[in-house]
Amino acid sequence: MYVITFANPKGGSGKTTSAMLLAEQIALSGGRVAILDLDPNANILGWARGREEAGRSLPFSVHARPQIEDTVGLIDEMAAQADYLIIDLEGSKDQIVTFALSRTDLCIIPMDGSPMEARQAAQAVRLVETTSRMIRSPIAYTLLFARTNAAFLTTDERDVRQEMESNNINTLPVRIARRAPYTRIFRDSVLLAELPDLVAEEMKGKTASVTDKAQKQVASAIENARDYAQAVIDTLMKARAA
Amino acid sequence: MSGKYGFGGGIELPKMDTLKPRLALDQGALKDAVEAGTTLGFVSREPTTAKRKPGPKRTEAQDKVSIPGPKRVIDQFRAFCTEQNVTLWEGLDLLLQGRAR
Repeated sequence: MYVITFANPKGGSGKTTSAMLLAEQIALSGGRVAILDLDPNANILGWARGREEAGRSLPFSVHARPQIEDTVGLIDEMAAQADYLIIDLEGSKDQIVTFALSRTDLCIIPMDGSPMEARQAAQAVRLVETTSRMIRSPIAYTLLFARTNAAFLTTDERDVRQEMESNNINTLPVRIARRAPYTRIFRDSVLLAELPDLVAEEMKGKTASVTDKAQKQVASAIENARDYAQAVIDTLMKARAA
Repeated sequence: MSGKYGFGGGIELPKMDTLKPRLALDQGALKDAVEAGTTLGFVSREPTTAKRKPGPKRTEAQDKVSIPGPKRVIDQFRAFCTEQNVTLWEGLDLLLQGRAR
């Protein structure tokens, strides 16, 4: 089992959305996926509950936060039921982050490219490096620019990228842009792959250009999610081979 | 890819049969990692004490008392209330009832 963890002590950096997009893409591609929702806000658990209430199936299992000292045991137990375990962590400096990192193959640190989030991301990097040293086992990590502007690079993002490049900090080659379909996943407890049909239903009676615009927005979101998920898997494989 | 919009295609996943089983984690090393994490500010945020249950609805006249005293006595009293799973006034009530018997 591969364990992929999303960490950044700053809340609202895109951890939950990035985790969900990755889980869906792997599940749709035939991988057995489980999500461990360690965020006390439990947005992914809420999403799963919403699907169950609406009579929709779950493409992957979602597990709730255990007692802190049971975290490592729970992660190891999941190896029997999943090929990929995706862990969504809380946006705070919680000790449970260290427990989860100790069993992590790849840690993804999402941030929006603002200086504030970059400082918090640097703290996550330090924790990954320290934990790796203490357990005497490598933990790969990469930063992910998430919730960014799809159209252009902000000067903040450019500045943060420059510093990361000069310090040889790995960055995922694909950004996740801020898009309405990504927030809708949580609003309506749906999958990204279900949106084309939903939008087609909603657009009945509207003009072709309006329908086309709405579908293009969904198509771009799906393409972005797929490119991002492939980049994560490629990074994971590169890290395993190293 | 398949489907009207070409959404049928997935991503390329590695074969799982080449994956080595995970090695057990050294508990001593984990403890060191948690301690090192604490120095970086990643501390336990689990609630340290159970929340006392709310008392019954206030159907009788209420009053309050502040009791300064040696810490060991106050700590013992708090520990007693936690052990009995009662609020502070309920703990006092219990002790008074015990004295009456």
